[in-house]
Amino acid sequence: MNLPGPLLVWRDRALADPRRGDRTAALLGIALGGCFLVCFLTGLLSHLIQHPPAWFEWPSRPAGLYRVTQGVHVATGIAAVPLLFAKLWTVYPRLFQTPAVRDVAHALERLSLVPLIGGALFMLVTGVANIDLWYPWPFFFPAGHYWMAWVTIGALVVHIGAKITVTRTALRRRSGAEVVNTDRRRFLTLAVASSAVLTVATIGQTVAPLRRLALLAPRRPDRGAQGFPVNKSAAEAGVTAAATDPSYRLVVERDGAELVRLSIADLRALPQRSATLPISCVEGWSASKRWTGVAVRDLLAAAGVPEPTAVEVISLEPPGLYSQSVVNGDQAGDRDTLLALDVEGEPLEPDHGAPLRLIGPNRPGVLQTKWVTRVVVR
Amino acid sequence: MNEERSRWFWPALLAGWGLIAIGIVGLFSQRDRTQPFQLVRYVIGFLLVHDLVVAPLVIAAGWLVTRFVPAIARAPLRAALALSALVVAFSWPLLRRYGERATNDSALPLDYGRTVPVVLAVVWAVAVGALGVRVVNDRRHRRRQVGGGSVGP
Repeated sequence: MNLPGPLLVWRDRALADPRRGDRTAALLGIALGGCFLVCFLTGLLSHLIQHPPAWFEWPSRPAGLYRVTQGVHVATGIAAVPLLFAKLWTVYPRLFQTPAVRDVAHALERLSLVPLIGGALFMLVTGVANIDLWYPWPFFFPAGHYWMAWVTIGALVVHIGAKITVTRTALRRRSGAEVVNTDRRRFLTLAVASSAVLTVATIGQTVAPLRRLALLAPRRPDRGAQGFPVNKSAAEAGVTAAATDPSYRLVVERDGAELVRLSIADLRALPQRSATLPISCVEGWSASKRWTGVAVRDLLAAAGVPEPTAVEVISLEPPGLYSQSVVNGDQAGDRDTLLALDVEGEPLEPDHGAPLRLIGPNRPGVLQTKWVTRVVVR
Repeated sequence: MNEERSRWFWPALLAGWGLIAIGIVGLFSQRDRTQPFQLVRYVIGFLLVHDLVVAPLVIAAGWLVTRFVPAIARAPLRAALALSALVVAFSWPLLRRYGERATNDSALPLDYGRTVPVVLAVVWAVAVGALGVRVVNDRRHRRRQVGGGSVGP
């Protein structure tokens, strides 16, 4: 296929621009590859925590580890946005390279650019929309984002294999006429500065001291009922009436048999324990609060289960993906894994899971089940 | 562009397409949730929107700056335009409040119609500052040249 003359002129002129040279592409590629690797690993970890296979048990300590890994996941994804557009601007003229395909290997390499670029754009666009609680597509975000991460990282591996030689050569060229190029330096500075602007304007959603700078963040750790964010409100979950019903009882059961049935007064009569723990949302925001309630292991002891063991915690919510969660044996044994009645010395409000919510160290927010009504011993 | 292939080319190609296959199999194994045929339309759609709309628009904007703006102001103007476009695109769902929840005021808690312009104002203030520095340096440079002083290094 012959390209139009003006396009060829533009392409050749653009390719001679140092901002679009191999060195720029290599430096941006390394930065972007690092970001995607971090996002992939932290995302994979989050997936394993939420859908643990038999060989994987996520520990309860350190208490804030998930807050860090998921905060890094979202912050790195945001930082990658300007880097991706800078990289695409740099390599765009190569889209018009001729011949379009030289041989089979080259064809496979170029074919891999479809899942690489399409996948990278998909991951960042859907990721940003997700933290903004915007879902303008028909697929379920976590599943689509997760499986497309494999596609994108696979395409990245192909790309690294194809570009490793040219990258090495471009980065080795430290002596000679091409060493310092003001235009290239300015362009790379702009890319990094753009990442810094988006990071500074959003990171305050999880790094509380920077919250006043979080002008582009979809959450603020100090905004919401009782002074911190709510993921799903009681009204959204359809539990307002059940959560405020005086006949509420917590049932602990094993093998279908009820071990104990407790009212709020009964729960308050059990040993109370307080712990400062973060709510760490998969969407990248977090907030630390002082929670008070009954430790799961104390509840189990009161129900006649002397040794802490894994339990399933079930919400008043209608059955759904997030209406229950499993507390593994390690977490159940942690003295700070609580069924909380109070936060910061006040009874929980329905939006935060009243009358009773799970809050445990090192758990994703989506697994800190709210409006708990049943605990099933496994 | 006609680069030499490393010995890692074929192993990486095989490993990479293996990972891609895991993703594709996963997408189809949960097809009720992922709706793979719909999803792939978004993947290709984002790619086409970038290649056919975003990239040409950015190149056209760059050409306009080169054509109509004095050389001294081009770099700060290009940087401010690029960063402004990025900030607005990134904040678009916030500005339009697509994710607003009627019963949850902690979702999108800020007045983004005010906060986004603050970020843009900072960007343009830095760009104007950078332009000012360039103008001052340029004048100093010319004065030295007129006075016959050294201009190096």
